Amino acid sequence: MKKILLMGAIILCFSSCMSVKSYQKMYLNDKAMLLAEQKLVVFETNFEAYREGAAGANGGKVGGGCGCN
Amino acid sequence: MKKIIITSIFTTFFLYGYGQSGYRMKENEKYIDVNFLTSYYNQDGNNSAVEGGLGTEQLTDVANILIVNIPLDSARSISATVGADFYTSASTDMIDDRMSSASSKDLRAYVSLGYQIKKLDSGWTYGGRLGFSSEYDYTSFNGGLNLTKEWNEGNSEFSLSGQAFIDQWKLYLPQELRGRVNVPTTDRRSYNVSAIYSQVLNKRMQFSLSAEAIYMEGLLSTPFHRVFFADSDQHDIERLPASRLKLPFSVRFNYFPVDQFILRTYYRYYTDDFGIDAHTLSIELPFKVSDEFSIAPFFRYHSQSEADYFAPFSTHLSSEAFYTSDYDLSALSSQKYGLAFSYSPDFGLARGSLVGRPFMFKSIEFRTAYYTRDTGLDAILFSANFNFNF
Repeated sequence: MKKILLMGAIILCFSSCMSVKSYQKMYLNDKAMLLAEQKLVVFETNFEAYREGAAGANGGKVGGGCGCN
Repeated sequence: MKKIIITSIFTTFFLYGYGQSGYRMKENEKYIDVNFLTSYYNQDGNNSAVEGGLGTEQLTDVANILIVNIPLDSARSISATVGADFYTSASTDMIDDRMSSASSKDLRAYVSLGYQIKKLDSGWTYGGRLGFSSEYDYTSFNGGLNLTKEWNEGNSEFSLSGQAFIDQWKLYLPQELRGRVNVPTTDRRSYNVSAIYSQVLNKRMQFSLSAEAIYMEGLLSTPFHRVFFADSDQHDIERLPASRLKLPFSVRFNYFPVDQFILRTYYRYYTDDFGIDAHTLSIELPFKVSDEFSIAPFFRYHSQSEADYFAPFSTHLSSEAFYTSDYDLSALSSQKYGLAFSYSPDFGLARGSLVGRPFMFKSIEFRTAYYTRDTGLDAILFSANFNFNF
């Protein structure tokens, strides 16, 4: 429990200390800096979810198709 | 220790309140955004689960997706995703003994509709989604809700989402087992919740942490996968437990060290109660050749342990409660590498007007990837994204 609280506190500290203004976000707003998979990666995520028994936490599909071929 | 934690929390909320004053979320763009994605995928291997872990895994899949995002005003938007996959599969062709029968090819079609609303002054975003997909032996109804809060002038973000998939199998058994074997249910339900925390570190660096829980129940095996035994001449269909809990955790870190070069990294740890533990690492290096054109080599490595219920062809015992010879559940490592290209001129590739609205063919992206798995399966994929605004 202590560890979880400590981790939460560290994360909250991050969020209170780092403040980049909107006009300073030229690099952060670049499409390649997106903190998620690019749209076009959806096809790769899809076949990896089928071909590897371990899927999830990458924005991919976790249901809604049998993936049975 | 307690003092440090309490001080941190108070400091955070003080600065959070201070930092929020005057900040307003980014409004929706004024134009309709359309992405048309298309791909060609081809794989081959020699461990088909349909034939109990032997035989060709040859598969070709051609997929197309149309994604439309329509802003209703500065805060509300709707989105629609429509897709279709057409595949031909040599392995599913072996469900029965008629080569090139109906089971050798299929069309999977799906649609999803979403709605999203932003509270521009408070940093909250709410959304919901409903979807449906259908293929010859499988239908799925799915829906999801998501909630996002951004604060600290948009430098910190926390999002929570939940999805449910209510799926139904149409039972296709291997031809020789029809009337001889059965399954307890044809339903499959999947529920997942995920939490993502994203944080800007400085003008060129940001990261995110993600945790997800996926619970599945119902028919989790594939009813036309065969399993052959070491101690019996009879064979059976794949049998797996009626529930499964998956727990993936991931971290992303992106860095823009110099003006032409970006580092994108991703790591995921995965564990489930089928006995699979996995590690996945990927790295992508977008290089900006010019303001308009970029090229990005990428590499992904994945390693997993085998499921408790996996064994190769003809090594299971018929007395076991659960068994599979599907190499997707075996111990494996895989590598994927490829190149991505993006061309995005400032004023688009083409402009004009469409039904009285200005129209722009904004950008084009290509990706090509080669995938190899140490079980002998290899695959190649080509994909493209055409982005339009109007």
